[in-house]
Amino acid sequence: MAILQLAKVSRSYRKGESEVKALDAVDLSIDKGEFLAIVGPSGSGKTTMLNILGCLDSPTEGTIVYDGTELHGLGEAGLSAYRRDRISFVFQSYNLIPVLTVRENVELPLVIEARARGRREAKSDREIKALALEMIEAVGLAGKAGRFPRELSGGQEQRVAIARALVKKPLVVLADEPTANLDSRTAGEILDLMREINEAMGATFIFSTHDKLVMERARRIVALHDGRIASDSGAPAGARP
Amino acid sequence: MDALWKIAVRNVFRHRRRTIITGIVMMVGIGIFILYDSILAGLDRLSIDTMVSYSSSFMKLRTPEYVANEAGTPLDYGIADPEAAMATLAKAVPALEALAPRTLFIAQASNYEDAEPALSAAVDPEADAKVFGLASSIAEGAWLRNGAGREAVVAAGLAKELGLKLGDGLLLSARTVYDNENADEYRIVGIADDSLSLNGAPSVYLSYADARALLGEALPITEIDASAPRASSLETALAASAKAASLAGAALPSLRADPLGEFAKEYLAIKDSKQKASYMIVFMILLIAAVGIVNTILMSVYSRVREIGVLRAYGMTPRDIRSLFSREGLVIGAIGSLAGLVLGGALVLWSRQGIRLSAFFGGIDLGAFPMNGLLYGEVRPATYAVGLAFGLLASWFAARIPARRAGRLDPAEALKFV
Repeated sequence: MAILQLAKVSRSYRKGESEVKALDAVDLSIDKGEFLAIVGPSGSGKTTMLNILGCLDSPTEGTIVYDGTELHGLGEAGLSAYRRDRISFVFQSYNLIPVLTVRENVELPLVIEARARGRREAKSDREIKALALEMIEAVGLAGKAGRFPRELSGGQEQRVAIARALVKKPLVVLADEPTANLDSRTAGEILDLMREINEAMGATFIFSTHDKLVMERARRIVALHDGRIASDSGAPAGARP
Repeated sequence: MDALWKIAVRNVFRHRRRTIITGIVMMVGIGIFILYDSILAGLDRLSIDTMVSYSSSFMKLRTPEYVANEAGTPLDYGIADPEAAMATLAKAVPALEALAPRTLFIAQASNYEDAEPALSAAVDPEADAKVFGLASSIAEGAWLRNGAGREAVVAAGLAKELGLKLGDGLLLSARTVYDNENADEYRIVGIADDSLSLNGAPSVYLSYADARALLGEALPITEIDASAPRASSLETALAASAKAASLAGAALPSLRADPLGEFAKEYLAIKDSKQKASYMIVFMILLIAAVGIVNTILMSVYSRVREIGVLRAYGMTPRDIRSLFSREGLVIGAIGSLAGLVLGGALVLWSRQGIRLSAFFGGIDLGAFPMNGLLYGEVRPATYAVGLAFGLLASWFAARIPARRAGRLDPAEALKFV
């Protein structure tokens, strides 16, 4: 079952007098549980595609249907709510909040969710803490929950970022060049961890990458060129129904 | 602690230098405001105390006719039976501490070469010393004594003007109760300090016995002055004096009782303008601090653009982001304001040791500001509350400007920010 469907999605930007089309009538269907890499040279539209998939940007044309919900016309508040409830991000430079500890960083998506839902519907502080510690253990950082990001290595920071992305059990995890700042051994470990989580939790992972290591581990590769899909290896049979 | 507060507080302490600089501006502003207000209140108190001690007293009882002609200090409108009036007054107004009669008159004071017009007072030396502070403000010599004869106490200003020293002869001439001129010579036994020169109090004092010899045996008592224990604040003193005057007026309907507020009218009007000026000063200082806060939060916003992108990506709304940075401003404001309260408190404590005004205003005639001696800052809890509220509000509103900018950042652009 497609969790995400893009139909004739275009995104144009004005650059001075001219108009630049970052995405041009893209059609794409992504199933639940996929481990997909979007590849392509710089300027091919990878980041724009990821921003649109992450509800950080809206298409100028076309429609996006997320888990049966058409996102068109949701507005700023609606998009914020959609991101909060269903989407998570892993960034190239980890982007942990420096003043929060590992545990507090991992708790952050749940805390944001709790703030929005109000006291009655939200998870309790104790539940949030337990979920965060469970996820920290899952990414192999048990015992480092009280550390601050500055006390961690790059690989450890990215593990925290992954824990933060997964703690709210999102439908989709969007990872923008997640291994770009890591050495190849650590990058391999991080990707293996993501694959394990993908298989164990069924979360859909979508990568934007140049990294061969990512491409080797991806089950599906979508190549972009000049804002269009140049090739698509197709959804593997392993993607969850 | 709420997540936004946690992030706000930790960021404020993470960028210590920025916080300290902005906090210091805030602290100095609020500290100076508290000290300034305390000194103004102290000056008010000192001014009124001086007035009470040297001229107006706590309450003054005169005939309505005398009050209508008071500029000429007439000797025609005396109190009919001053002894009875004082007895009635003491009974009707138990809050009064002491009573003393006085008769003011205009005399020409001369050193035999030059002459100066001088507001003069006939007094009962013992009773007067209980109501007024003159006896304790004699800079040279001593206060008058009953039955000593031909003695005068003069204000330092008049003595200086006429070149008179302690023990010198003073020639006084004045119109008598019989409407003729008379003159007599007195030995200067006391020179009062500068207090008398500054607030329109009489410059020459004679005992009733000497004054009657000069102005006639029928010299009337034209006013009865009263004293009361020192009140805890200026407002309390004014209210107590008004109440005493009202009771005295009811007990002695043929006389007019004027409270302290009546004599301090001019001063109290100036006091209100001073209060406004003090708020202008704090407003200006807090404006400077607010600019500092805007700058600090703007720096904070620009150094954390990607962080804002992450928070937005994880579902924080623009409102949450605005709230986060406003809270940072508020935390800086709270730190600065609380430090300002401590600094202000310390400065007020210092001022309560006593500040000698002559060190600041020596020799300057401040007109309607009868300020002499030691000034003690007043402790006014309301000023601390106003300082804290002003500081917090100013920082909250100042932080709203950069906070709004942070809230408007596009999350996709923010995440790209390097």
